Amino acid sequence: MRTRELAVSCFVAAFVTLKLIEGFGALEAWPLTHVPMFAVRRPPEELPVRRTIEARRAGRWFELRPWQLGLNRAELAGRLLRDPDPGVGCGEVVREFNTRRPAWLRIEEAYVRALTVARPGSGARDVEHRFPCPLDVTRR
Amino acid sequence: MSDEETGTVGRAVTAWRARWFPEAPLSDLAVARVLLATVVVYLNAGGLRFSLVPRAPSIAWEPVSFLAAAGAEQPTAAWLHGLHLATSVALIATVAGLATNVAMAAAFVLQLVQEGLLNSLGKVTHSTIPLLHAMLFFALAPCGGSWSLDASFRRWHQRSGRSARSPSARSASAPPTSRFARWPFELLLLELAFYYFDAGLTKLVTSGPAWADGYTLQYHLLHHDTSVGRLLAPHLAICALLSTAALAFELLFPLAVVFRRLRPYFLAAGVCFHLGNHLLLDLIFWPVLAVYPLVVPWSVLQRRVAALFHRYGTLRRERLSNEGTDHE
Repeated sequence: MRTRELAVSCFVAAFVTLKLIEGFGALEAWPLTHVPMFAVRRPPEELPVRRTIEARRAGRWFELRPWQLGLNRAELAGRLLRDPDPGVGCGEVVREFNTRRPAWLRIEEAYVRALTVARPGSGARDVEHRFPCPLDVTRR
Repeated sequence: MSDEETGTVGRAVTAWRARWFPEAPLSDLAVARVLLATVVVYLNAGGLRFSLVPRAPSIAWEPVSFLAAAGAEQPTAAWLHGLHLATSVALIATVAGLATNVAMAAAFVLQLVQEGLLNSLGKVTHSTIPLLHAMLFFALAPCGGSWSLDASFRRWHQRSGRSARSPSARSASAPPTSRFARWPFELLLLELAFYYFDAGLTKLVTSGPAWADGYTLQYHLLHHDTSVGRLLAPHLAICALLSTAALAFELLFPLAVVFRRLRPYFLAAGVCFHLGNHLLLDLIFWPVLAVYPLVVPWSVLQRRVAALFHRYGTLRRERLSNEGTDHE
């Protein structure tokens, strides 16, 4: 086997070893991953909760979309609004949003709308909770 | 190790070389190189894709491990713009085949940093990982050996005969095939196999076979709330069927590495899998789909299409001559 073939073979072997460690060792440190998306089972009694931020500006209520905050849906709802009281995280995000905007574009009031969605056929109904976002607190 | 080596080790080395280092056309690498660089240029969308990073709230900043180790802070818009500009230059040089390996390697490092920044806002996405690996593999392969400015320069250099004995002149006379033109494709397919298999394995290890009972998919359909998902969520049996199919696809994908004939079927199933995820869960994993054309052996496809046209032409000529005979 020639030197260059040996070098490529070593690279292939190292790559395969790394992939095996990732998969069987459940390694997760981006870009190393064992691809754990959606791996957790959700039993019938576990209900999905959709979390959104509703905001008021110039007297009008609207949904503050994740991209308006510089985030995607998973980063906002899946992380920052995941606390038992998502209003705290929401307050921090909206306060920072306000500091980067001129006065007329600032949010005056906001709350997190958490909609717990009932499983079809369970006979239950969707339940909505609201968590106010404190906009006058400086630290979490 | 020599070619003449016999015995078990010798046979294993021969089989290894036959699998990873067969003589293959460099044009396959060239097509893949142009496709890959073009896909990354499109993916970056003129830098728009990374523009959220400096705008994100500071509490969201949670750098991925390699950026944290480098002490990276949330970048400014100007810094990201510079990074994007450098990436674009490297990608354009890659497409043109100018200092191809250096350009592809630079594009890989720059893209890795940018993807790392994008994944430093608390939630990571795995959709671009196979694409990044593809960039690394092609950077290490002779992907500028054909259809490139590098190859043109080498030919010109050889014709001018200014340094006929120089290494570059010798490489200019190299045939349009190489023993190093096949391994990136094989390794990329292996990467896809690990990617899907790991996803399936993690589901089994974390949740067991009960993962596919339909309740998990129903949960995510209700959570993501797409129009097609809303229609499907009440039907638990269909949810269970789709979950089982997804799990089987992920766990069986490595068969495509072993059996070449199965590859088109698994790639077709992969297209359905990702389109289904997009429709049902609003998950855009198109960068993974963009890797599929890179594992296609374009020269084989070209030969088959040419043979098909040739056969069609022959049949047509035969029919016309038969019609002529009938009229006589």
